[in-house]
Amino acid sequence: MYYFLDENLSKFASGIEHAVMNRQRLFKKNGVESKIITVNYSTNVVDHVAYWHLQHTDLINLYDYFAESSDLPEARTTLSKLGYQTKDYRFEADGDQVKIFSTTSLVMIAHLFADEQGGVYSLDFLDAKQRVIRTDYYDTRGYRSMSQYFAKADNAQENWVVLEQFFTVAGRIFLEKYYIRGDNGAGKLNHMRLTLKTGQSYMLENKTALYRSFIEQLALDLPGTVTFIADRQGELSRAMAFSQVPARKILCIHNLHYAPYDDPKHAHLAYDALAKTDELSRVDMIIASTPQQAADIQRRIYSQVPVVSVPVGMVSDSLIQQPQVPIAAPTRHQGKIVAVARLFWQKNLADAIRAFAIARQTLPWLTFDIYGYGDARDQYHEEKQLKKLVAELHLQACVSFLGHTNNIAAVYDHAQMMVLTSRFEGFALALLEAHAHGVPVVTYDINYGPASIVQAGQSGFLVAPGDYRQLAEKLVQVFSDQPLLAALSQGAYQVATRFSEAAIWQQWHHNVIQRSGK
Amino acid sequence: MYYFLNNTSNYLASGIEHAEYQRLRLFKKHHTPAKIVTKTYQLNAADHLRANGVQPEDCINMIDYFCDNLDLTPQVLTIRDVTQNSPFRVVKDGEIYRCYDQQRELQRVWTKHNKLVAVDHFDGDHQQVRSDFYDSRGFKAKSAFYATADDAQARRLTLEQYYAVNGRIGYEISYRQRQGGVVAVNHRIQLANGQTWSVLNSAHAFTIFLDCLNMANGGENVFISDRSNVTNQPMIAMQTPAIKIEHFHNIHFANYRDPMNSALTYASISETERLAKTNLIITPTVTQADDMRMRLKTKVPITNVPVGYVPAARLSMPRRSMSDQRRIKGKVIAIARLDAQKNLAEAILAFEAAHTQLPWLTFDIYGYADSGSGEEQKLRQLVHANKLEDCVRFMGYTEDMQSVYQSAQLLLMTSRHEGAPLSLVEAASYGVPQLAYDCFYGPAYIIANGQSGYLVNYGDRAQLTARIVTIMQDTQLLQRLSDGAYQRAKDFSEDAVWQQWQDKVINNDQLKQLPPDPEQVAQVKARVTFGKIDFVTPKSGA
Repeated sequence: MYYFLDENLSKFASGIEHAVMNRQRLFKKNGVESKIITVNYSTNVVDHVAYWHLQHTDLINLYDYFAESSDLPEARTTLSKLGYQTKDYRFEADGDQVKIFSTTSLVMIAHLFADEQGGVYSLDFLDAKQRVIRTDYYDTRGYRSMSQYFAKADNAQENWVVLEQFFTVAGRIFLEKYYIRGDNGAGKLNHMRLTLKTGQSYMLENKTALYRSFIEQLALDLPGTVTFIADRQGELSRAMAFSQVPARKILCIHNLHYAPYDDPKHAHLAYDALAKTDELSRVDMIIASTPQQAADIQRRIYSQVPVVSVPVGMVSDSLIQQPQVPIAAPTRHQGKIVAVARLFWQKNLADAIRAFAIARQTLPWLTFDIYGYGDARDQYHEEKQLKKLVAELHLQACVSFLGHTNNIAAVYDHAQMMVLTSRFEGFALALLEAHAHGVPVVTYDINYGPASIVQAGQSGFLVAPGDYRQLAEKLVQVFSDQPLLAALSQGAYQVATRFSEAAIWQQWHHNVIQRSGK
Repeated sequence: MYYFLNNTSNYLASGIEHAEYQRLRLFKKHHTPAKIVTKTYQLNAADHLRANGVQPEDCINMIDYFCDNLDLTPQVLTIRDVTQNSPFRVVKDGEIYRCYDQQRELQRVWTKHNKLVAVDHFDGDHQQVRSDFYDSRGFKAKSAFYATADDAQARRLTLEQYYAVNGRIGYEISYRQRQGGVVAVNHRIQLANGQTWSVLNSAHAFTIFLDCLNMANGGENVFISDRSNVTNQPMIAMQTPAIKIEHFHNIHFANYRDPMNSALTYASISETERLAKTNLIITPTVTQADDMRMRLKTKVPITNVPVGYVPAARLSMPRRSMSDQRRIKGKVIAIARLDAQKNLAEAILAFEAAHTQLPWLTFDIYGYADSGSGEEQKLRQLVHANKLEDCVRFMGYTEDMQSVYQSAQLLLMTSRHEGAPLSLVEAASYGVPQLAYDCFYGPAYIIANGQSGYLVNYGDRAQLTARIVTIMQDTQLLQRLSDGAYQRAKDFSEDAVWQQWQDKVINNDQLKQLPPDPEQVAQVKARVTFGKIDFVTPKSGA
């Protein structure tokens, strides 16, 4: 059994969660059992499962596990099921809230789900001054899953969470979280008490200890040795490393392993999982997304713990089976160069624009489309700068900012070339997507991704980071030589097959599943 | 060149210093150039070194180096060197001399055994504004300057300057007031050739010093960090190509009974990046090396070399039998600092129980008290409470350990943890059998169980008492163990230990593969070629 350790699978899942779900599909297809493990509390895990088209057996959430609720179907709690009778209380609907009065005093407020199914999400209890003293949360499977209690004083400013109790479906308290008042006045987690159904009780100092108990339970539930793959670094990977069970422990690194990202020369190891020998030495293997990163990590940690690589991106069978679009096909726009990247500092699109401007002096029929949205994190500064640059270079007629698209496949099928000038990447998935559609690539040879995907001279070219003049030269060279362009397109299709489901599975099998035997 | 890195040269040398000084003698004897290198300056360092059998020129202190105060011919400065041209009226007050202008005391000169020690300078309100300090080699080595205020209590240290013999300022430390005391906030180094550095802490200054030393000797010298908390980080941070060895002298984990799971106590091994830049780790015992290897899973080689050895001359000395008149019958000894780690209360209580059965036993404890630990007081109270004043004595620190060992019959060690207790090897070399708690690490490595002494399960005081009684009652057994101890000492002979240094360090080709990343090596080497300008050595450098 493989357990993939993650934080949550909400609807706002990041690239890491997508990679994990793809991995699970691949494992399933190849008959290897796996489950995604999540540790964040949520009242609607069951929704997440449905949203991502998972089976409920594909996922175990920490709170569901201890609440013994994993197998229940969705059944939301209705107002009437709360147990407060209309002869004693008056109910007043107010939008998504229902106010509940005892004679003239407002004593409770029920918060309802805003979607069409409705049902109770939470219930606040009020004191005589109508301040919330307690909130109950209801799981969408129809039971009270958590109560939160607030510390109060006559001084209205004093208000912090003092206690959280988590309940099993049957109503037994399995977890209590105790808070102290932090310096900022808010509750700060102090310690926890976990009680198993056997009655055994544990005092836990922090989240890591809670995760560790969970991980140890999971391992003990099954005969034989299970394998954990921690996809998130921090408390989860630490809990895995220090768990005292005979399990195989694998650390999967999805991002750059050093920080600050933009200064690899002076950067330090970003994760305690790597930087602290005591944590590092307790894992059995490290997986990186590219062979280059794996080699860098191995050299840097100088440890006996093996570092292997398995690509985090893959090309689906259905895409590989699609008919190829020849580079000279009329559906492809001649001279169309694309970049698929957010308008953000990291992506360094100014260099791509500069390179394009130089190339276009020789080949005026080239055009450049940029797909990606601006970023609120920098107040769209980068977007403004890029647009200013395009104006300064008088390229408005041939450089287009096209924002986000839902049909990226069509973009690739109409293009003849992709450029990538990022300062750094984890895997550079866009390059692989482009190759899967027969689009060659000229890219900066940055950490990490380009060198593991692009085969120099066969599916595109790698140039030194920052050398946009050379990038321009390569564009001119390729677009001046139609047979070369066609060959690179063929090469791109070819390279993409190396990332087929079967090929990626082969790497999982060879690098991880077979190797991680203890 | 081999450089052994330490913090300072105290008169009261701990096990680490003794190990270092012994190693220095071993290397020198075998014509392998080696020096001790220290960070913290002391006015009397030369005297301390000599007292511990080390030639002052075999130790290079950082501040001495920056101030060119190496290989000096010692001079004696007296009160006359201050007063002979002084316009002030001098009044002698014991070893203190007060210098007056009219009725105002403007200087106060401190001497000891007629040697000049320090001069305090006062302002018109008799507030101390400056003090000069004199190195025992006979020159003004340092001045401390004080910030004053109308409130005399507000006086505080603000600047220290360190001088070359010719008066040039080689090193300066600025201080800032913080929470009732002062902290060093900036260090400035200035070499005779004008090259300067301004750094934020002494560790960084120490790194610069090590780089200078290294390049003054052509680079790729071997640095052995003996005092991890002070010397490891500066050694690892060195920019010039060097071979970096971390030498452990104690256990490496927090709970002294849990070597595999309790926290790692030294950043030198708990931080992956520091560890990865280390060329070799040396532990005193095999077991510690094994445990560390198993736990760290690093590719950095980990080996063991005994920290002590028995000089050839001692091995060839005539043996002194247990019945020899010069051995004091019933004399039990412990050689340990009065510190919680040494756990001497256990030894005292075990001895007490044995003493009730064999009232002719006596117990001498040799070792100085670690200041501020309160352990000495606790132990003295324990002795008092058990009415043992007549048979248990605290003997303090002694330079003449030979007579101690040669007059004793048994040694006890009940430490909570050890690196490799030098005293066990020393005791063996003088034929003193040993009883020790089997702690991590050392006793099991040194004591040949049943032949040169016995290991006792950790904490089993009753067993320790029983062993004391059995051995001391049975003269044949005592003699057999003594013979076994003399025999065991041979395994730690100078030659045997030197052989290990040769095999594991000096001729270890693996060490010559400089840092693991070849690209990094190339970069460093390129920088150093250029850096020949950067790392000019002071005139009197090694």
